Amino acid sequence: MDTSNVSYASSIAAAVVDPERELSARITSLIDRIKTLPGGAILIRYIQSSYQDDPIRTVIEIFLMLFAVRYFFSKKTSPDSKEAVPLSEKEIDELCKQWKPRPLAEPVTEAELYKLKKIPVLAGAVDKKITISGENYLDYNRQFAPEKRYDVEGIECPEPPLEDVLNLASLDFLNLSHDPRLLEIAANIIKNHGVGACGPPGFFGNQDVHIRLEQRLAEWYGVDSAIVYGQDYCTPISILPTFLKRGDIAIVDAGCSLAIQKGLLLSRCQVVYFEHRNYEHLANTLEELQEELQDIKPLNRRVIVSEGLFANTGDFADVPKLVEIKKKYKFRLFLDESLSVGSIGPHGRGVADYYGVPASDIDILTGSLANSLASSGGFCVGEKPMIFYQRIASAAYCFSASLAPYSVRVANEVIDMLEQNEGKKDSPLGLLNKNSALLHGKFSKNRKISKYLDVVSESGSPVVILEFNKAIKNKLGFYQYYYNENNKTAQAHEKGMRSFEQSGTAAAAKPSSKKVSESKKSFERVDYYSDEAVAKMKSEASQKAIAESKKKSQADIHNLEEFLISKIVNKLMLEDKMLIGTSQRLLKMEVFRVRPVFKICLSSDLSTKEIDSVVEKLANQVAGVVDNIKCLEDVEKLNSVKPL
Amino acid sequence: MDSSKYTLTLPKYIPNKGLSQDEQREKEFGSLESPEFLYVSEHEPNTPYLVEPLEEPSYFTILLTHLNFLILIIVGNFKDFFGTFFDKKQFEDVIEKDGYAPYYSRLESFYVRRMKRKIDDNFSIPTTGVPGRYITCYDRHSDDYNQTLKYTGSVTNCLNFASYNYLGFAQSVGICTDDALVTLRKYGTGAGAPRHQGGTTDKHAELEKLVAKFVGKDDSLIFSQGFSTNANLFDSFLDSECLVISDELNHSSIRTGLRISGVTIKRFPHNNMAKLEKIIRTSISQGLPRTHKPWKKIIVCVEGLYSMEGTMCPLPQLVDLRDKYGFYLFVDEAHSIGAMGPNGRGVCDYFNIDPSRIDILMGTFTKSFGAAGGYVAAEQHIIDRLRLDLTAPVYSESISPVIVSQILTSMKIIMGELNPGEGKERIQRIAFNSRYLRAGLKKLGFIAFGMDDSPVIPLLLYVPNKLPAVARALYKRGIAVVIVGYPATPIDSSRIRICVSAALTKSDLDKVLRELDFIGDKMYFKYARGKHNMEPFTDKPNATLEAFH
Repeated sequence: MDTSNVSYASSIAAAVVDPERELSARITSLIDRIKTLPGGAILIRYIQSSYQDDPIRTVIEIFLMLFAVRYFFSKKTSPDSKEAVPLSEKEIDELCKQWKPRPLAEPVTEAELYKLKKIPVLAGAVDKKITISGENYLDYNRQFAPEKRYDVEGIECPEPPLEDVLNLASLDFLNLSHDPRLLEIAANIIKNHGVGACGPPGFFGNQDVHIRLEQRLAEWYGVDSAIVYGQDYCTPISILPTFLKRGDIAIVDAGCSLAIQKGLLLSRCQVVYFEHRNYEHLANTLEELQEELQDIKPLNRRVIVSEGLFANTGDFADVPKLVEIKKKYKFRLFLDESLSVGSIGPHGRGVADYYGVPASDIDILTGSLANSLASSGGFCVGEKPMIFYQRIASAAYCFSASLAPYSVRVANEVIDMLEQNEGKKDSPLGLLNKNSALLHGKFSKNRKISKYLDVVSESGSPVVILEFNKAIKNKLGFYQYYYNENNKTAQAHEKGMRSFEQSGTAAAAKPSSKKVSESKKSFERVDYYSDEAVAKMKSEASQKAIAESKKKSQADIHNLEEFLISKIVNKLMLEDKMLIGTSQRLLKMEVFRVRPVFKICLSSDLSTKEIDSVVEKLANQVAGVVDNIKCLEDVEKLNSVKPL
Repeated sequence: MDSSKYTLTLPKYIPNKGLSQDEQREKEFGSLESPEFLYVSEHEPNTPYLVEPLEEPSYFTILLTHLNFLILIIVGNFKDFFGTFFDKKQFEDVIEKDGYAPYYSRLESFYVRRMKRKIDDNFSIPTTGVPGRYITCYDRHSDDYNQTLKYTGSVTNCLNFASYNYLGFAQSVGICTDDALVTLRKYGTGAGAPRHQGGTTDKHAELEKLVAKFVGKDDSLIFSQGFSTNANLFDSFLDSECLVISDELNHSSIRTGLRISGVTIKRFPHNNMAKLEKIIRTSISQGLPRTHKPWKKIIVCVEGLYSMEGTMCPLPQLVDLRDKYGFYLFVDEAHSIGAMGPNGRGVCDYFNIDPSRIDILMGTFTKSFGAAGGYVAAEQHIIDRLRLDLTAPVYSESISPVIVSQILTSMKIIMGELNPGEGKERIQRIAFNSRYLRAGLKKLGFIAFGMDDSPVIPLLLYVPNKLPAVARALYKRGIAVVIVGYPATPIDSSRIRICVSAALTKSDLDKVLRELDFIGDKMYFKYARGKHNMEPFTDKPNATLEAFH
């Protein structure tokens, strides 16, 4: 304390004498003051000892400090600006003026117009028997003005509606949406809760009905917990990227629906495909991957992705096999049961239930409440931590309004109904399964149908899926399947599938030397300079050019095949009063192979007579249309779809 | 307290039991107390829309906020690190288990576990009944820092400043509900199929026409979920050779949609038109990276009303830029449709701008119409193309006819086609309520972001510790608000969000002002330093804010 007093006094004296001495005196006094702080003395000693007799260190640190200052104040350059062409303001103005964007949306072409026309608009409810409205989308479409209709006196009048049409396009398989018990319960909830939930689940949109349904779903599936989403299509799109990030790996069945494809696209994880329902391929792929996966530390998330009942093909995933494989290789299993919940299995819980696999063996099980459960929205069931994390990290749950309370309550009630009717043969579920077996049986036995169509779906599926058989496809110039030629991912997938198929066939049939010698024999010597040969070559070249110009892209031919199917469906609706569905898959969105199909959606209360007539009428219409056309051009010449 | 009676399962409670029809109506939608309490929200013509500078708190507050997070991060990571070794049971969800990676990693879930979980009692509060003027919440209690929340068996009726119920159409009595019930009996509980496969009824067609008429476009498309509308929209007409310039605060659904489409994305600072113009100019002049080919399409994506900020897009400047450079403009009107403008028709109505100057108008039915779902409206040829190319109408469920009916009725009321006068009153009530509450809060010394007319009022708390404290204090006093913190907002601006509704009366607003005044003093979050006092009502000098004088 004494010394500091002395130095302080001397500093006052020095202030008068010399500025240099004043500065040093001030520093000394500052140091002294720091020393009085707790630990200050140690700090000062440390700094003093580290800089004393070490000028290089001081210089380096000054440079470092300068660099830090420069870095802090330097301009931030983006990678874009590096390769940017320097332009003057005037040039930029000029370029901006010249730039003309493409139209926001390409206009609908004549060839696609049928798609707009064929969308059925129902007058009244979606039920077993429906009325197709006389109005349709072209009536308020100004670009393609509808043909005006006039009555006898020449006054413009709307088309009368088509009544009493049998609905074979609804996914309400159990035909519950008009069940009086459900209507009563829904009305009750609307009277108490209103219609909308008015908020996301985190922010006061989580109503008692939602919590009860989540508990009910978990209980029904026998798992820890469940979560309810506002829309079924968005459920896999949102869940997959929640648990799969860059660096993770997903192995996907190549027959999965678009929702799964989009979800994987969003997740940016490594995606490997296996051939549709080829579990040997899956096991082999996993075996090959083992080496690569062993080294990854920390463990990445690994998921096998499949649908339970495939929406596009109507066949079942072999869930026991999947569970066996996933357990062996320590992968998780994601199973989308959107179509199968409520329509398949002894308890109606889907394909896993059908095979007797407990839901706890499936790590992530999603489903739809909108189809058999006569409500709206989707759900996911599984382990507690998985569901817990979805509540904050899954975008479609966290950032979207909750499902309407009455829909939630209806789904809950349907689950109760399914449980009450368990095992009864005359329950809606039992009748649906009976109808499915019946219709599948009828189709495979019907000679007339098998001449034109193959049944793709499996018996038991509530959607019967039919496609043109090989002979018809070849005759009309259709492809066996289509893929998106303009999408890189789709191209890569197609390439992979082809090489897999070739390796498969190559292993099966070894190339024989006999064939090679035959091909050598067929090689003929031609005199290239004779007039005949030149003329022949010329005509060949011109023919080739014509063929080239006429050659249609995959998308065009796909469109034509879809058109032919729509035409038949349209005739079936107008002449036989039956509305069935079609595939209408969007080729330019899909990564996987696409096949245009007929979809007949069953419901529990179809009578045997109606099923018989479906088979017969469809066979007649297909025969009527297909027999009259011989090639692709004929398909183009067909009249467009008539809305009504 | 006797906590042994607390249950894990939701207790049975029947909302509205013993209430008469009139009491129920009053609980859902308070009647107007005086014709004085109405206001027309409109942008004054010929005045440029100024993007308000956000008010800054003192450096001390910012320092405190960062210190809070610093302590959270250090202590949290310390606990996590040692916990994964020594307390495996507690951390079993984030560590590897029998050869399986955890569903979520330790780092990924840091804020969820360390911050959100601690204040989880303020999120996902189970409610029952109509989320109208009052909302009925189940009380919960936790003994283990919100690991498990138990129900105490009682309920609290809170004034509802949390739900998106701008025009107060969340009701269970009235013409909307009557129509919905009629539709339910006729059309059933669900639509049963995707839109293109027989799931389209005349109700859907009618709503599409009405929405188009309402927003002033040729045609529209409707979807069953607002999130999905955006998430599945962009992939149908954008590819990697197109450019999207998106506001940095755009909703997650837009960002999801853009990511699915694989389009090139550039972001501009929130509402910063100078930066936006600069990005447009460099993008057009430089073209695609490397090849310098011109961009096929350039689309600017903004929201009408930002739900976390309460700000609106500067539409007059945006449409001028659009005319100048020829890009396409996409406006998400999720929060502004119904709630803004003298006729409730969204931002175009508010700024008095012809809707034809915006290319795609998107919006949702959740907020102002008391329903669910979303729409996209545009010119006829665009909608025709979208109708064919969008994935949602082909693959997803159709919007339920009951919900369609609710939207139809509420939209007709707003348009004045049904119950003439009711729609106008609702619109003017929310305009009055929004301005009145905001002016009051600002006068009391709170920092509130956003536009004067916006029904979303974010009240800044900054320090994250205050989030649960304020929310709990308000809940105890019977007021429900939403709290938002990092990562949903920037790290230094935790806030409570107040959503104003037409269902609230002026005395409700006075009550919340009184309570907030009290809590604000106790908890020190009146950060404003007197710079931003707003005039409550330009055309009504007599309208008084007597509640807190």
